[in-house]
Amino acid sequence: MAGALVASTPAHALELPKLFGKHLVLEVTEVSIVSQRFDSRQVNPIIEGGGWGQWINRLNATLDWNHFQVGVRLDSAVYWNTLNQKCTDSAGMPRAGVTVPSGAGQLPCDGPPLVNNVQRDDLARYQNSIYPAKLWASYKHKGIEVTLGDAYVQFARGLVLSMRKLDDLGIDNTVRGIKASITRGPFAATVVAGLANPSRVDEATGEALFNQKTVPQTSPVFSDRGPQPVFGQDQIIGAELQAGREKPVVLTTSMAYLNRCAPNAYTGPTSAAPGRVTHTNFADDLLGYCDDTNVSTWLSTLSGANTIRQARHVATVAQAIELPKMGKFGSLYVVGAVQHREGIDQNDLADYDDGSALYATYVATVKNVTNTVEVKDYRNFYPMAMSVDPKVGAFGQYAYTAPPTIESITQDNLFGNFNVCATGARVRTDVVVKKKLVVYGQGIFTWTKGEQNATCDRWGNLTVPDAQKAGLEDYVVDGLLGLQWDFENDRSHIYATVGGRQDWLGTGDTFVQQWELNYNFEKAITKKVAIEFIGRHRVRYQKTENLGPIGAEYWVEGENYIGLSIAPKWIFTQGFEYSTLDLPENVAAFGISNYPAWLFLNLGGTYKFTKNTNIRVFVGQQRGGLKCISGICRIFPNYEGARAELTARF
Amino acid sequence: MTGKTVKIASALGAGALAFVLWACGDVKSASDVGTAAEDFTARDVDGNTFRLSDHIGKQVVLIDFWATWCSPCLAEMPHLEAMQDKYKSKGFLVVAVSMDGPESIADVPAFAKRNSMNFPVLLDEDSSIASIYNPRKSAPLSAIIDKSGRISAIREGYNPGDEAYVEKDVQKALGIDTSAPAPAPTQSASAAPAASSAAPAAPPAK
Repeated sequence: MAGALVASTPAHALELPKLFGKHLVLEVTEVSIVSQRFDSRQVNPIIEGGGWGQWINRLNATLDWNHFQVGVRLDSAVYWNTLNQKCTDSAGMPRAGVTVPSGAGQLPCDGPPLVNNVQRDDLARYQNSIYPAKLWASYKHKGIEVTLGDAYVQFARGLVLSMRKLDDLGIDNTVRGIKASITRGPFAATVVAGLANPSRVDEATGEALFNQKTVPQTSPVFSDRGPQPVFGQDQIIGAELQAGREKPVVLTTSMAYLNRCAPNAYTGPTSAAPGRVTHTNFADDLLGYCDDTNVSTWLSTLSGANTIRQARHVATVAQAIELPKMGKFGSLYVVGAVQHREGIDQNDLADYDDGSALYATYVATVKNVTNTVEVKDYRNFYPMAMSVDPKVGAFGQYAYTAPPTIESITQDNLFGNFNVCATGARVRTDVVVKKKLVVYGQGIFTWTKGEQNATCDRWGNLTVPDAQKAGLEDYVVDGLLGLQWDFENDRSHIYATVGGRQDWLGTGDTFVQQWELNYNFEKAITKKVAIEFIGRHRVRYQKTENLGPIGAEYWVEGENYIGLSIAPKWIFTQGFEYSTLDLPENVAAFGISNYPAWLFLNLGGTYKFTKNTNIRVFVGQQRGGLKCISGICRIFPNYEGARAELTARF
Repeated sequence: MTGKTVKIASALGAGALAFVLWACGDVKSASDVGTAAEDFTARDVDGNTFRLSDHIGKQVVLIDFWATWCSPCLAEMPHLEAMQDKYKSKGFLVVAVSMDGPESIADVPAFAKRNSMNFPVLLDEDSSIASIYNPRKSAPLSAIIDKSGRISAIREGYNPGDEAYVEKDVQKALGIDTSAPAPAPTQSASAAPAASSAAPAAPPAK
């Protein structure tokens, strides 16, 4: 929220001597982030590695000439004060007699609680690194676009393919290979082929997708498994054909095929060190080891037996029809998709099965009223999960597709496989009461058979006996009312919503209930100075959360920020966040006494100190929790520390 | 990763920062010419195809990156609409690029309607336009492309009062005399003062 308040940066570039009469221009963008944690704000701070620091650097350079561009983004990360650095000797073994401070006192480095986390530093997090995160060379001119290297791509509203950048979640997925598209008159075609290339470092947790480091084989936890890659070689091929651009009817056919390969070879079961990683072929190291044996070994290390993450091949085909020019009758978009998932061999077909999806949206305006309708029907239709080892949990929810949820973009009450087997509709009505004043209402109903992690077949039927079905189905109603009012010549505004959500199990029990208020009030004080109040307050209930002596209890949580902006250089923010989830009086019943405080305070500021450079500073605490963007959710840890982010562009 | 990696990564970061500080302290050492605007093709909410190269050389184009879930974008929008009205006849075009993904793209047409957006509203579902002009996917972010096809200004974020500076950037790109005191914030098409008469006439938008 505070991060939304940023300064401006005029652009300049370094113009090099002309080449064949055309300008050659170099542009450099530099982002440097330094962050020092003071405390992880977890039950036991040191166990979670509180106190570590990081320096993340992203250097982006592009060179433009005529219609060509070559570019590189070089990412690096350096960590300090990690558990590993504090607790291990030069041989990587825990140092006897050394202790580190924790919320519960002094913990010995060679004690069981710390040993596993010291090794976790080696395996999945805090890896100093430097690597080319993105590389590309492109040609774009008159409807022809060809990119070699990294490219973003999305087909069929995310049902078929969605390789995008979602900064709020730290996601930056591209296909590294080739992407080509051509647009001619009413026709357009796009093809893409390559390896999935996500950003490898997660800033929030320090986890990374690099190969694990060598772990002392005396480790009681990992002695049966040597250091391995944690991210597979996911090969993706996709194509989209479109006909009817600019016409009343647009037809689009999309398809994508995922082929999972192992990132390395493995020694056989009769080897002296069975299951160890080997690299036998340079070409396969680059593109993946795709033979049955190695792929089978690799996929078996991933979490979720017989899920889409362990499906060796995933094929998705979609057909969309769009009527964008129906005049007073509005616009309509309908897409249907089928998904086929296969295991290692034909015997696995029954386990993986097929799925289907139907999604539609309709928008129509009559005078000052605009209605938006969304409908979805997903049956055994999974997001195409990334091949990632469960040890790097921060990446666990990453996927190459993003089926629309028809929910609010930040809706974080989607549990289990909520969207995998679900039928629902959303209706939103916007009314322009008068110029600069809009009121709106929205209602959503969803019937899901996936929220309790049950599985359904290709027809949408739960694969359990009838007597169990009621407890595995959820009926969800969500509604809100909103206001959008700009005043004082559009320099001040009030944007606010109030809403509620009720999620019943098929048995009639409440699974989730929520009441929510969002507000954003900004008041211009002078021509350059304005004050802003922005925040959210929620009252929440979830059957499986905030358990106390009498069972699940309601809790409240929220964020409230005050911002003072002085255009165009300065922004100051002060915020407080809170959550009464799992307070000591609740969790004391389970013998836990030192849960962190419920209040989170912080200060922030942005200063643009030259035309090309701004710096953002944050000091204090922020609440963690589940965060969802575009139907992709991940859990962020609490934060307490200081952070500075420098951005410069040339 | 070894200590060598730490040294290389640290050296890279330090080098990049040193470059930043050098360039910031001596901006004139770099040419004051903006990057050449890279072409792109996209569809708008009405199903029409928009190609940037069709407008370069004819109009000053302000590409505004926004999203339906972005409050500052919503607050900035009326000012962009007013600027579009005010400078359209001088060859100015606002192009709003929605960064909404699968989750919220269905709300884009309604957003454009209820906010009376009087310029092309493009869909950038796969982030391909953002990857060129807004790789960090900031919202809002505006990039102004002058008639020679160069990016003359990039402005990130919006707070009340910023509209006056955006307008000044637009005037500069249009060749309107900006030596006069900072303009009053753009209010509405009818209330906005006429552009400086000293400015060279621009060809009408096609």
